[in-house]
Amino acid sequence: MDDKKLVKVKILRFDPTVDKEPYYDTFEVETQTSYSVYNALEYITENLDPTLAYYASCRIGACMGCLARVNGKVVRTCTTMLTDDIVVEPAKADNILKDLVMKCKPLPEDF
Amino acid sequence: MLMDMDERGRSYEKRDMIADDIQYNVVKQYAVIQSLFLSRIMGENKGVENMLKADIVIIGSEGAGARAAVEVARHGMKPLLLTKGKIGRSGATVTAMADFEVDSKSAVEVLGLKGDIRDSKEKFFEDTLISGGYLSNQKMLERHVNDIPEIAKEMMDKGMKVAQELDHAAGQTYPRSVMTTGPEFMRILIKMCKEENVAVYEHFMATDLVKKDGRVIGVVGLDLSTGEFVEIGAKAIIMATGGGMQMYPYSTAPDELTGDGHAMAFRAGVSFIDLEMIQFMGCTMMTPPAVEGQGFGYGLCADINPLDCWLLNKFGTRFMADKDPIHKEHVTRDKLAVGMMTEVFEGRGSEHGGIYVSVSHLPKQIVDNYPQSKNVPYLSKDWEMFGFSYKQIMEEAKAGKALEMGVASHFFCGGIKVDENGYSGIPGFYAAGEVTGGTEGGNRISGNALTQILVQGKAAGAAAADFAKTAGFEEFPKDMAEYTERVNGPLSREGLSSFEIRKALQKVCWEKLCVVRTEESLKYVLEQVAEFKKQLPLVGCKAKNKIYNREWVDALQLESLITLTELVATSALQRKESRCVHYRHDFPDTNYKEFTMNNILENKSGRIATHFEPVVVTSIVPPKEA
Repeated sequence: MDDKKLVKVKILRFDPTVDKEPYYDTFEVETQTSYSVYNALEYITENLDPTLAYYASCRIGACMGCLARVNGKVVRTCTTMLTDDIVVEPAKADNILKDLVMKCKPLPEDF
Repeated sequence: MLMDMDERGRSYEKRDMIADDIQYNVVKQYAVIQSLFLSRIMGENKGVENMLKADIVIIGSEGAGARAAVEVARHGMKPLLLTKGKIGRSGATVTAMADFEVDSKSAVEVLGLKGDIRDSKEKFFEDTLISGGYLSNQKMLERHVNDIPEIAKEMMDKGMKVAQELDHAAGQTYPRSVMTTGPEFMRILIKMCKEENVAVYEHFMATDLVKKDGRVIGVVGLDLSTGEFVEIGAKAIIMATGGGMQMYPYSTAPDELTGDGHAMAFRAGVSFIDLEMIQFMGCTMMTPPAVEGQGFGYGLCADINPLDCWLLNKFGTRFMADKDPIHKEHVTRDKLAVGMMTEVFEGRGSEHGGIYVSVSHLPKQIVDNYPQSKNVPYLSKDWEMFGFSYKQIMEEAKAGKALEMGVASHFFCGGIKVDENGYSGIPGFYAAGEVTGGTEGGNRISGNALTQILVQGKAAGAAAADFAKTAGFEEFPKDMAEYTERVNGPLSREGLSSFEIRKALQKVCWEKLCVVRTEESLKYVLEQVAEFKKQLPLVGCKAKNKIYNREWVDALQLESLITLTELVATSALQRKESRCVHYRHDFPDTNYKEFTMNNILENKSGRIATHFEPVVVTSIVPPKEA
């Protein structure tokens, strides 16, 4: 894929403090050769909707922090290239902190 | 446990793709903690008793921080690890490619690996000192070489898999690189943390240290999971936040390394040492977007056993061969970065501000054989690395298209000034790992980072725990407005976009504070910093959600980056010579007579004061001339 092209990135959104139910938002993103889903999430947050929440760290495929469900399969978003319309959902649907970010373990009782 | 090279390669992929996070500690409901927070914010329940607290709070959960926490617990004190991200899934350690250095003799005798017994700790000490331009604190360096064998042995006893044979990194007289992987390294540290029942507070962004009567008594910050301002009391703090590589748009380091630790430490009044010494990795990818900043090209062109690539400027001159006809492209990291960026600085760079790399002079089959080379176990036969495919890029390269490569910020050799126990000079404040300076001096040999974080983490953990045995918890000031305003300000305002200002700042650092520096370029950076500082109070978030608001975090990180940029530029301006990774186009030679000194920054009432200090010497007196 050499040419730039517009694709639709459909993302599951959920803010438990505001939303009763999760819903989907769709963003149009211009992709190109070797443009990752992580690149798209960063682009959307910085240019289209700053309320989008996702977790990522190393963006070189090593940390496994950016796992999400893309078209139904759990993958690293940084090593998954954006070549066509996609659906992005949190890796685990029952543990959402916000959008694509999972809850972490709270502190032990004795703090 | 031993791992063969194939296994080492696969272990990157083996980390399961299951969504479960690393199972960590036991838990209590958020609601309870939240109500505690809220009551404190409402001004009720102030006081030490009701405070969220731990004997030692460690900021940063990866290599240095995790090792420090283990040591704190072993000294009978209760540690709490804070991380902006998630343990094992953030920070630089897990991205290490990954070796740690042990002198070859100890590797044979203590670790049972294949090495060269002619080596010694003294020789390892000397190689590191010379590579760092004689700027290392020799007391710290003694601990570096002396403490690592036993620390490494314990990790291997706990199951860390390493290659049986040592690798030989540039700058080391003997093979000293114990090969493992970043994830494997962290797997063992996390296992050790669990054994010691270390608690981790994830998604917590520390923003300030709190002081009372000259002593650090705790930390405050933002809980990203709730959006609440949180105060945490401590008898001592260990800063282990890593380097600040995100000053630059191209970096090998993770996104969250924004110098928060440096900025907090500066505001708390600690000093910095040789902060101008920022190592850049050469031959990193500049395009396409998915592989920006990746070290693939470094392995291809410059690391151990590379392909015989040609580095060309835009007019086709093989400039490294011109500069060093013997070693050509196969020089140490500092020389490679300076060589490349001098071409860019002098107007002979590539379209995106890098240089060109040609492999098309090589027969195609030879290029195809490269993935079998010993030094790239993480590269599959089909040119896949960490899940990224370079196949198409390499097919184009074989067909004659030059690859475009640049440099990427890789490691902070300088940082917070501490002693060999990680003590900063401010009671209750310790630091360990890449956020500190002094161990590596002006350059870092491959593999010394993981050695440094283990040795310093253990040392700082022990020293902080000893301090805590005779220290108590202190009540925080009644008026916390200064701290809450820093955190809540951006969310409460409408205003300038932190994303845009951060990118502008990174562009300034890239163009004027990168590998090649001049007095003019550095003064320009400081002028721009003054402008960014004026913009900072006007930064506001469009996103108003409290839970995991990336724009809010970005705004808080922006302040750290601005502080860090001012510190680095000021430091670089003082060192009017070129040495190791610091290259001044206006002073291209090393001035052994005047500048074999440590470049110190201090906080004098919020302003940066500078001076040079003699280096700490124990056994090798630095030469007065080249």
